[in-house]
Amino acid sequence: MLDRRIIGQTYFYLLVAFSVVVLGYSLWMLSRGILSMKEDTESFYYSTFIGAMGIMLAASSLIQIRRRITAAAKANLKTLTVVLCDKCGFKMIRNFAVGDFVYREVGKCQQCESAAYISQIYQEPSKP
Amino acid sequence: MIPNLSASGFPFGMSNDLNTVISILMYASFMVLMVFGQKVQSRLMLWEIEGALKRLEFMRNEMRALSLKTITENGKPKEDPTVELNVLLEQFLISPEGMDPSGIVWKLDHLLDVRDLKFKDDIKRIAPEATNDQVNNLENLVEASAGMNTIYRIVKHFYLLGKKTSSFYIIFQIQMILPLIMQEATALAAAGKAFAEGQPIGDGAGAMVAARLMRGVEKRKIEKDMVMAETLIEGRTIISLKAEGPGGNVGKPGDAIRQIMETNPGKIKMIVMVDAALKLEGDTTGETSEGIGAAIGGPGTERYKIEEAAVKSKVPVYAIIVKESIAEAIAPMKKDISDACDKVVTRIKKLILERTSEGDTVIVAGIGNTVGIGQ
Repeated sequence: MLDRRIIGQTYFYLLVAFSVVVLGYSLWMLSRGILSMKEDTESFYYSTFIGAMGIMLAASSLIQIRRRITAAAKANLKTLTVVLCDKCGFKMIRNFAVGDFVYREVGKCQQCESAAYISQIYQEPSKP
Repeated sequence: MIPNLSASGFPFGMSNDLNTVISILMYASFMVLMVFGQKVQSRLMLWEIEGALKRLEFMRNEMRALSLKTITENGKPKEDPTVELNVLLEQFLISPEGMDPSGIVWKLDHLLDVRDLKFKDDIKRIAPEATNDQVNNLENLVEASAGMNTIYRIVKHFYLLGKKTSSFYIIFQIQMILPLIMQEATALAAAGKAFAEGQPIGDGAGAMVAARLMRGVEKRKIEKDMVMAETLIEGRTIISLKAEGPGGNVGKPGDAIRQIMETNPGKIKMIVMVDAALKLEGDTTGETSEGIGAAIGGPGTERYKIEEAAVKSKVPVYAIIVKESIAEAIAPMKKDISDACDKVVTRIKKLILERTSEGDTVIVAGIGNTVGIGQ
């Protein structure tokens, strides 16, 4: 599991680095092309063409990476159970366990010993 | 070692050769795209559909495996339930003929009842030791699995048909709605896990509001799979009703409301329906809104019954909705939706105070799947 995560992270960082390098080179090509517009028309056309193509490819790659990060963050969810005491208002949030359901009595309140119950069960993104 | 770059930016003075190559490539690609543009586009779309189809197949197999695991764990069947599960996943319902629409609601209602009864009996047979709540959850889980199986089969059908006929428009129509299909399939996969573990789903917002109003008072069972309880709010009698939980269940609120109105002739002054409703893109999840009419989804039979009963007794029907997307409605409940229940209770109280007098009786119907929500 840990190995898979490390390989995934390495691949991810390599991909980002490669995209950034391509983006940098393409920007440099584009600037060279624009600067040589008056002296060398041929160089202008091809440098601009290669630069624009590179920028598009690098941007597309970086956008895809961003989408994957967002999707991965969305997929990392956890379900929480909120246990509440109506009498003293004591609230406890814990991980959901099979058998939990909303309005189930779950023993006594830790503070005032009255009956506590599950008031909410919800899913939210887990914090890293 | 950094290569010696010429003024044009190309290494080793390659600009002239590259000039010719790029020119040829540009003309060639222009010609290829002119002649085979649509074919290329079709091929690209087929690749995209193929990728989605692989993901759908994976999700379908995962859902089937989850159903099988849950049936085996909860139901402890004596024989392998795989064959019977596969039969359930392929089950279908033929809608009644609509050429003569008179009485179509009751025909559809009857078919849905038969389907529900058969489905539940089949689940009980393959999971003999499951409790009633577990049977309800398993029923929902198998239904979600069947839904995923249907999505997979439909996408596969269009993919293969598009490939076979090379028709751009067949491929195009499935590719256009693919993001929405994938969104729904992902939510269905999440719903499968929720049903297997008994977690509340977004659709249960209405049921949770009714359960909140019922808390601490005596409940009794009415009509098929429904529970009701009477409470007093500012001198008004509130009859709250919801499907019986915490198993996955939607009950028959139409029949329940009709029964309550028949047993309390002339007493009911208002019906308030609470349900999860589809938001538009840009709307906030968990936002609440008020309206008029029967807030209930499904095939329409329950809405018809409620409208009939309300019209017969001239009782106004108000709706309070909790906004959420279709994906959020079938996925495990989000915090925003769960938090919205308090706001809905406040709105109900305000509505009742504004629109009724002391001594009146009001029905509050919490609509939706009550999985993971008791009473």
